[in-house]
Amino acid sequence: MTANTSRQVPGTDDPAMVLRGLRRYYPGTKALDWHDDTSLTIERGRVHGLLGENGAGKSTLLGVIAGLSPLSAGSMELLGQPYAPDSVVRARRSGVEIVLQEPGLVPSLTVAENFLLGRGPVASRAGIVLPGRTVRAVGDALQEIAPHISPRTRAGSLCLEDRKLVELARAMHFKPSVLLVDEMSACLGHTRLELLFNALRRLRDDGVAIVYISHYLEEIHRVCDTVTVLKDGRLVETLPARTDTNTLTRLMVGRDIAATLYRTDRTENAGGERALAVDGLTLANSYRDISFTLRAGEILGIGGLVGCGSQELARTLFGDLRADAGSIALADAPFAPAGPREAIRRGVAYVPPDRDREGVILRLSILQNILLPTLRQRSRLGLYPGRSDTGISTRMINDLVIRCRGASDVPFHLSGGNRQKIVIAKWLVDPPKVLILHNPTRGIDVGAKSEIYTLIQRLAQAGTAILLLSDELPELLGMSDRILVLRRGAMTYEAHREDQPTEELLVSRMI
Amino acid sequence: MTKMMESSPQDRGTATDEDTLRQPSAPTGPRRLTGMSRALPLAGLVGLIIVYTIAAGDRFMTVNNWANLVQQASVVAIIGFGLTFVVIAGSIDLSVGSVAAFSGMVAAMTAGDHGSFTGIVTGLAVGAACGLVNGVLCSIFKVPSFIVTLGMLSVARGLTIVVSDSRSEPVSGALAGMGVAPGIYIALGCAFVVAFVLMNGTTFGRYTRSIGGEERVSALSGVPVRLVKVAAFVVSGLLAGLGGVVLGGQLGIATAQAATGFELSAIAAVVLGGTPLTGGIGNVWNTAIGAFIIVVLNNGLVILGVAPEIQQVIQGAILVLAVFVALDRSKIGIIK
Repeated sequence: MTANTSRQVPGTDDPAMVLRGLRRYYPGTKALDWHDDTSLTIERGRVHGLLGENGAGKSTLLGVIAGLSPLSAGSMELLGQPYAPDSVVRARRSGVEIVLQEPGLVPSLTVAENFLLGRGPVASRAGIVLPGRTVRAVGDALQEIAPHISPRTRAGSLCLEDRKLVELARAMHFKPSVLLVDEMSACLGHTRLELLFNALRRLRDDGVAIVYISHYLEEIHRVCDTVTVLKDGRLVETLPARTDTNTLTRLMVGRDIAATLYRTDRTENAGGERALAVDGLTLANSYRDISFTLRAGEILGIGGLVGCGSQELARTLFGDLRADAGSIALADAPFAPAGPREAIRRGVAYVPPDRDREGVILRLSILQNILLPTLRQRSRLGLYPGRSDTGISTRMINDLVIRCRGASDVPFHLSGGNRQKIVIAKWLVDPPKVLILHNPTRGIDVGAKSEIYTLIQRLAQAGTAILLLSDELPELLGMSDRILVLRRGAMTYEAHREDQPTEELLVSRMI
Repeated sequence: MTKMMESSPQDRGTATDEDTLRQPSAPTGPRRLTGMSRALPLAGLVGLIIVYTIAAGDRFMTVNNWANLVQQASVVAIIGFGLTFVVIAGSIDLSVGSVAAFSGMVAAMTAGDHGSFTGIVTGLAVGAACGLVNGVLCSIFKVPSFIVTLGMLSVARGLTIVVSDSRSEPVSGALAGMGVAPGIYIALGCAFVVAFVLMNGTTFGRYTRSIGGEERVSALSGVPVRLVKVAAFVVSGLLAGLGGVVLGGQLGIATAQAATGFELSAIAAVVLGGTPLTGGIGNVWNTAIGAFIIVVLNNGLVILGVAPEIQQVIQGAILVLAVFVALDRSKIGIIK
């Protein structure tokens, strides 16, 4: 392959892309929020890394370039021409290909059929697709990056890693001038990661501009030429990729913490009796050899990047997943829950990260949502008269200041913050001994946030052992007595409140 | 892209939060609509009755005609009560018509040899057993309910022919009494009370609603999801069995072709009553209203002398119209 096989106009000096003043707002959030005079240039023949914390706007930026989501403001140029894709298809026609974080193949179709989807024929004569030639053409395309995959295989029967490689091969096959690759290393093992890097390097040498998102600095160092750091939807700085780790980490964090939002004390609460002990817990492909102890009244934070295994760990502790090895113990007895029911019975509660799909039932009344986990305790032989229902739910609504029209209102009408309070309320009807909170304040306004923080402190003071998983560093640092950091499924660090750990320190152990 | 997609549902809330704070008690549009659509089926039934009373009150508003109406509605209503549980749990039971025929046949045959009481009990047990099979296949073995119960629709019908050897079985004695006044009213009343209490006064009823609302949330809240789903199918089968027994009494004979197509009437009754097929909401009395809408609609059309084929056209149109008016589409992204 040579440089002029890609779609670039030979002889012009325009960079692959110039992005100016990009903004992308969702109701209530500014996923991308550049200043008007901010611009980012993506050069041809370079691998351009994007680096940033969870929620920094990396994926949103890629989505905007790939035509997945429209811009609220700003402009883009592609090879010197104005570029405003209104769909992925339009973006592809202009020579911009994207490999998403989520699986992008239809599992019921073969690899070759997936190549054809929405892209026009790979091999055709007079508008008729030639199946034999298509298979051959796709086979050739796979040869470069994943020769072990047959074009006739059904995509669904491939392992996750191979599916990603097929997506990459597909994107490369259509000779893009810009290739966007979103966080692939989380699902690729070592050997396939090597295949990926080699492919990216070859493309780069052919003059393709590549934008590569990674959570891991070592990858940025290995494959990228340039790196841009993003934070809270804004551009921080663009630097050579060989910039040292410390500088990059410092740029990723370092915001002002609204100290009043969180705990004000700096003393670490060592806690009382042991509430939860985890020893050598391992779940294949998720986390390994996790050991810690959580005491009554203690807030233990767990931090890590998306995919670090913390979510699976939390679900295991709640009985929603089963560990392959290791053991869990509650206050005094071993604990191997067969399911959430048993965990609940033993006094473990779980506030999941996906509020609307795992936390509340949007169309069921607030009362029924709040009472769901404790119905059985208040029933006699399965009969449930519900006499105490209104009392309990009203008490919860008042205690947690859930803003609604009444207990019969449905969460569908409520804001994220109030929905989250319902999820917490349902676990407080019968107060748990261990409360697992995963991103308890994600996407909710500052007022509700601070109310939830106050509530968490109140519960801890009352002796509840709290496990706080969070993607937000300020939250972890502001609330936890101790913080465990997970990186690729392994515990890499334990920070103590009294040592006053910094965001930089935590991030350096995550990436 | 996870980030992006996450952020849209997240902060849809923030805006409404401010709204809520500003005007804490002002009823917003969608809320009023929900309240209205809840009363729509009843309003529709009352509207129908008023129209027919004006158009042909002398023949429509008579004690005899109403006694007739209740008896006509009862089989579909009884079957519909059971189906309501499955639908609220978010599944579907297409087998109720065949299960009714199977149970009716077994009841009639058993009653002939062992007396009516044994016959009734056996009939109900057969219905419940069919429901158990549906439930286990759907909930434990994870075959979609549409497929499982479509299969059962065929299996139960076939078994009815096998056990009866294609012969009709006359129904007499107390079993026949189940199909005429006062037995039919007692059966309808008992079915309603049992279903109503199960739905509204037990943990099972609450769990059924929560599963239909969101299965994953329910499981994470400690609801025994699989067990409750099996139980919903058992209730559906049991009440389909009762419907079949009552039908046999009503017709005075159990045939292999009995209750053909009743699954569709029962689904129509559930939906017309305002219980959406998406599950999570609805109630037993809704289905009662739905069953009466069907029967009253028919009865009036007959009285008004509308041709049978036109009656079918009107019934179908009303069903679609009812869902069109009542459905809250704001919640549903994809209609299948």
